[in-house]
Amino acid sequence: MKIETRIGTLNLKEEKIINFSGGILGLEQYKKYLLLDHPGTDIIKWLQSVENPNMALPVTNPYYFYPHYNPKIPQQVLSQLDLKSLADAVMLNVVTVPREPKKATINLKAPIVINPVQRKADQVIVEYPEYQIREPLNLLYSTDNRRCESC
Amino acid sequence: MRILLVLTRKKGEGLVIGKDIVVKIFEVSGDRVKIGIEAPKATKILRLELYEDVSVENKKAADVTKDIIDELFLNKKSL
Repeated sequence: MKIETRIGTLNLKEEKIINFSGGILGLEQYKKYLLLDHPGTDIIKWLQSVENPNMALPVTNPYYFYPHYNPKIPQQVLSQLDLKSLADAVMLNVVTVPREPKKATINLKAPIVINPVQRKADQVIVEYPEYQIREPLNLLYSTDNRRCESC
Repeated sequence: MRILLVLTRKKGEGLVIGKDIVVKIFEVSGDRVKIGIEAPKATKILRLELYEDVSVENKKAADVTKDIIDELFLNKKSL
């Protein structure tokens, strides 16, 4: 089956679907997503709703930008996703880009935690330590430039 | 359809919501109320302002286009 996505028409493989049984906060009507690579970059992926082609969220690996990111994910969240530990999870955070792209932010307060084996996921609000919903997305950290700066 | 029920409770009183959620008023002091919620483990309980703030941010993120991401991340490669 072909579906429309933010990055074009794709062949839907059912086994690739990630299930958010509680939905994503504020968007609870959508439960099924695909994780798609943004063409040409490893940094951004899209959480694309299978149910609505217009519904896709850009997400990123938070450690690209915040290497010391260490949110405390409650044990009950892990067990609901059938995860033994956070090490078995994939963590992604939602990226927001306002009209001025340089002011892009990452939501470190509400990571998306995925069980990559069972393809179950949830968006979690973390209380500890204190992280912000809009943390700056420092693009310099995500490029190869960083290495050059220290040479 | 959704309804909004408004009622007054005193310290020590509570409410039952559905068949498995109990809300109790523990303490009232000035404009602060301490509430206890007994619910199944899987029930997501969030502070309203935090829920709203994250919801708005998610909806904003859903408006980000492919072009904007291209502009922001693909140009980086040429640096």
